[in-house]
Amino acid sequence: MTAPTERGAAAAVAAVVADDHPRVMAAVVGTLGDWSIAEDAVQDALERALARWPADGVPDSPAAWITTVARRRGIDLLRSRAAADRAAERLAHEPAAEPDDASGASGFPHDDERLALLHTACHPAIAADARAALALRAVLGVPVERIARLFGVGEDAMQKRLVRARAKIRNAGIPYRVPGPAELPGRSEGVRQVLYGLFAIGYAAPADADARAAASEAIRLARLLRELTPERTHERVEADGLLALMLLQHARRDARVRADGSAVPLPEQDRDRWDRALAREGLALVDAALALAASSGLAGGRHLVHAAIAAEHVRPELAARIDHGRVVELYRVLERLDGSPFVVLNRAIAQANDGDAEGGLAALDEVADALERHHLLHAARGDLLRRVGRDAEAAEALRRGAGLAPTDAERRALVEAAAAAEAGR
Amino acid sequence: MRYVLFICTDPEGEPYDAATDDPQAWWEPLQASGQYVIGDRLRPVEDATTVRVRAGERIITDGPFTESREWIAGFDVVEADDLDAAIEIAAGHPMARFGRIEVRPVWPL
Repeated sequence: MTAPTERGAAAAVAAVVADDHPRVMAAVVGTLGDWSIAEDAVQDALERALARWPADGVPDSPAAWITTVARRRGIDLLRSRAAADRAAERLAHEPAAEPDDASGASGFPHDDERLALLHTACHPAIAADARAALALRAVLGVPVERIARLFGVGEDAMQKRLVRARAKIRNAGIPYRVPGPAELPGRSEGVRQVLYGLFAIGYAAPADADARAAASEAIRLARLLRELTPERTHERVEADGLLALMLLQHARRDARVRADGSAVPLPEQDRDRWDRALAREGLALVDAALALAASSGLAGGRHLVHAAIAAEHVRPELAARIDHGRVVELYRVLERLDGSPFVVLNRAIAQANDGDAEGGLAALDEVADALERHHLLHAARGDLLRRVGRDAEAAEALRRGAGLAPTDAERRALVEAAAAAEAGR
Repeated sequence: MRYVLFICTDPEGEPYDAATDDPQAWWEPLQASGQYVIGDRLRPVEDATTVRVRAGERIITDGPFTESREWIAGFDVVEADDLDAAIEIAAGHPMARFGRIEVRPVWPL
């Protein structure tokens, strides 16, 4: 027991939320078998800690105290709710799941249970727009108001989304466990896509503070996913790749955007504004994962290949130039894993960077139909046409792209590029 | 938990293959494990009749309640531990490939 003070109690509660929320939540869901009651119970326990610890002192193991109180509170909630028959029956058969020692550190779940929490939050049967929010709320304990801001929606709308998702977990019987070997690859890929989707909110709008916070939260979840995934498995190699990809992209966050919100192309980025610590961590992860994949025969997936491509773009911070030939090669590997036309588009740009603009233009023709309505196709075509001196056609393509651009900043940049092409500048 | 699988047609499904699409092979192990409750094929929508009572008056119309290119071709009621188990069962049904299957938990009174 630590001597009671109000500030010490608040700090201890905050520390549990910051460091131990996934373990606490996993333990409580594991006991109660009911997601939404577990969330309420953990919230209640945190509030009770705030009320009691200033007078009683902070227990030696704050997280274990919260877990035990939350379990008891959850059991009360279950008993008082007639609709909870199923979960109550389960409890009746698992009396050992309730710890009797409030101060003991025992009863914490294994890594598997926190991993189960992530897989449940990202289950494909939950609405796509609720998965990342549920992971933030239930796994990391991020307040609803903050989650709402990350997603650019109102707090009420986000609350409804979360309530709906929890109801689906309960009513449809979405299980709380790590999927079996047959389902695991697809489901884990789903988790990674949810986390990357959250990250992409920040990546797409680097000038927006809330959106950037979404990227930071995604990195926290990706770190957790990596930490919990068993080593020397395909899933781990991909979790390494996902985290590395996020770190390498996030390292460039300050250099990627001008004061007016427009994007800075990579060659023009001020490398002194890169976060070198993050970049180095990302590079080390990619290299270790690639080496493991090569030596053990564990197949890397699309996130590892994406990370390897990002690494080739960040690596020259230390060396002289990007190895564009290597980047083209990696995009070809990625094309076999991921049929997205955007991969081909990126390969086309990489080919042009490697000195083969004509080859890049031919690659763009392959995806011309699929990306006809997307500004990035026309922006890339304009860029490549300029490199081969076809300025008039380039201007036309860039204007076409400007007409399809989703943001003002991108539209302005393409209009300016079209004017420059027209003037032969 | 008990789930109803609505076996639906889907114009965008893969082609039917009599050799591999054998409902019997799907049904037998479920029957053996006691997870199968009941189920059947349904006659096509041409044979459907829709009944409404409005202001005390019965309104009987020919056909399904919505016009659609997809319709329910059958149903199966199964017992499964959770949604993942129900999804596993549904994914093994031949109609998951050349049609689609809607998995709905029952909502007992």
